[in-house]
Amino acid sequence: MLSSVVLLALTTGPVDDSIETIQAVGPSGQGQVAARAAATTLSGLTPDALIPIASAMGRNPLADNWLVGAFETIADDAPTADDLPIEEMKRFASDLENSPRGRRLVFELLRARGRDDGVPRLLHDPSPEMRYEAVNLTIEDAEKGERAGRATLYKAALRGATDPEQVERIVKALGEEGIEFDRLDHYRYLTDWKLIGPFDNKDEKAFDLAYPPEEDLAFGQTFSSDYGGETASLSWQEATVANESGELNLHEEMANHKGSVVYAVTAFESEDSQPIEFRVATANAFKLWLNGELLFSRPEYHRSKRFDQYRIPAAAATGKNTVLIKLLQNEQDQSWAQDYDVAVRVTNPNGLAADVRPVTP
Amino acid sequence: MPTLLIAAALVTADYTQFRDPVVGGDVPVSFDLDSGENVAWTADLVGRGLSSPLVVGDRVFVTSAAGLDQDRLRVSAFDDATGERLWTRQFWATGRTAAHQKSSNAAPSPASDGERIFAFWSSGDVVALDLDGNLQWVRGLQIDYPNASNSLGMSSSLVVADGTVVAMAEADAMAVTVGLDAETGETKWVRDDRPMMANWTSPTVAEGERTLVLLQSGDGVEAVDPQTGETVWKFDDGASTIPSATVAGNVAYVPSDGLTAISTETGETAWQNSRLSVATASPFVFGENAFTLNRAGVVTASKLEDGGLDWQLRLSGPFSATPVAAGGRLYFVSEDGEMQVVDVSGEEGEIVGESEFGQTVLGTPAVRGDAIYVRSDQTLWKIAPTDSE
Repeated sequence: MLSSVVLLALTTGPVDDSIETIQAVGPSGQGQVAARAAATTLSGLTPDALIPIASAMGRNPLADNWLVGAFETIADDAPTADDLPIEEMKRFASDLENSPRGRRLVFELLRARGRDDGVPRLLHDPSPEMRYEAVNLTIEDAEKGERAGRATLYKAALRGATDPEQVERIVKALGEEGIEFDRLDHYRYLTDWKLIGPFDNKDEKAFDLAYPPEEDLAFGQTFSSDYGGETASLSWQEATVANESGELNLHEEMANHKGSVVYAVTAFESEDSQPIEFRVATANAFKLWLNGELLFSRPEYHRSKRFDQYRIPAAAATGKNTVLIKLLQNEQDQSWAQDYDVAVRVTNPNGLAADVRPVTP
Repeated sequence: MPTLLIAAALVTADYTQFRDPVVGGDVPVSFDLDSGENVAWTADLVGRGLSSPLVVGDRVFVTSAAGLDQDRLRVSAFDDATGERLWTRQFWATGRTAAHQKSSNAAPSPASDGERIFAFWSSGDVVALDLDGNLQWVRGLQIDYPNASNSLGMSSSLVVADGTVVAMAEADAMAVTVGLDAETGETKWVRDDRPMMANWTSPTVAEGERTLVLLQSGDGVEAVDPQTGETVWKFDDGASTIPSATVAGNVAYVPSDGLTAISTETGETAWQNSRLSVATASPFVFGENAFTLNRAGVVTASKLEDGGLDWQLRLSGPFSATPVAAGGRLYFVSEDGEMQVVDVSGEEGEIVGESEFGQTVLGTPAVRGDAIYVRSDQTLWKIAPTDSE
């Protein structure tokens, strides 16, 4: 006991100083030379430094990659599990207040050394990897258990499931029990939209060209648009997403207007201000604003579309939050380049449905 | 230096980058996984990847990407003599990991200057490790350039030239190429004026009176100074955005309107042959020939001096991997995991060996000495003469 206290005291100074130096790394290679020296110092410390290093993760993605290197080097240098602070590591890995990345790393080291007590079955675990494994174990329990308790276990598993394969596995089983499932709500897709378009995007010219809705949504007004050689008066129209993939499909709501821009507005209510992520899937170029602030721009057309294709961090305000999407179609004529749709869901930073309520804009 | 000495040097040279022009020695023409014949060792890999292995000193290095979203980036070192895993280092992706299901976040190949391993992933992460796995520096190009990604994934590999690590991150939404100090990871130069288009090609080093790095895109080829990133010359007749140019001597063989040979000193065209169709695998130069693989799996040998046709041979494809050369033979590994060995020492190519890995193989193999190193998602094989031969 005494020796570990002494060791901790000896390591606290270099640990803190080195971590602080590493946390200072920034874009464009800033701080790399100093970080290397600090990481060398960290890597040479005893296993008592593992928990302070894991604790420091999650603040700076570049710094995390320096810290993980030091963590693994120290771990590699510990010949046996008895050289590691096993009990402290277990406490750290099971405390949800700690850095999800740090917890996962510590858990993986415990598992590699045969000292883990199994995956914590926490279906709300902030670590996506820990949660994924917890959901899997719960699904397996349901599959192996008595029929009477299956639905309860599947429903519990569903609360932590964000991986589409896991979700579909659970939904199939629930379906066999006669229990329906609302994908739109589970993933928290935004479903009630107002649309206006088409505006001209010939030769992909309009990505940075602001049409009037970017300045003022003015739902009650009409907008003049020159598209396809004709001038038209446009007004907002309503659209409700009902398909299971959450797609606002402009083929269905309007038409596949080649070389066009369509603006789409939706909203959600949040009881508190909170960190969220917009998770967007589209093969079209787009911009996204939240409450008038431009959050993300992507001038890419038809390079595939997938679940959670873009993760866009944001801060939801208390009350009503308005989301504006500028969706752009180009003039490619290949069969694989005709998608004109977008799916937007709102999650917490860990991918679970955010505690928000989609509403009409 | 006499030709024989050059050849001897190449046979034992380390394999340090994607499509390293290393020529192997007496690599077996066949192997058998069941009996172990000519299988020096097999190692399990974690995650996914189609990057090339590197062989540096007494170690083999492989990158991969694991985790739920391929966001756990891995570099592993194996003992070249035994296949024992010596170390693995993991990192978290700082950029987008999405890739076409056939590809992977670990599509780009690493490179080495003999002292360090420089690894690169589609997510824009670049790390430098010494050969013992100690981190030297780490960069996140998508932190600096958030839209330098492609929803189908990126695949451009690294090169190291004159102490500069050159990384291309070029896509429709943003196209940037950077030169990073190999020692410190600091940015030496940035080219943010590259053509804004999806680009999966890799830079190529041209050694001559001055060292140049050739950057290929749909617009053509741009030769830049690795110290400054400044343009030395441009070839602007267009080029492929998937297979990459190959340099031999002072000529670059560019997948452009078939195959086009250009001077690496000036960028001027020496010859062009639109019949030399190039698919995913890059053109390859060995001996007196340039070799191209078309979509039908036909390998064509053309003359280096004028692009004239020498011979053609149909192989069993399709191919993503570029062939490697050893002992007067070319080693082709198909996407289905079949290694086909073609003797190119005669007037016609002749298939002299066929063997099966039994797994999908998309990455270009490495070769050194009498061994060829092939990786799939799950496995790394060293094929070399064994006692049972």
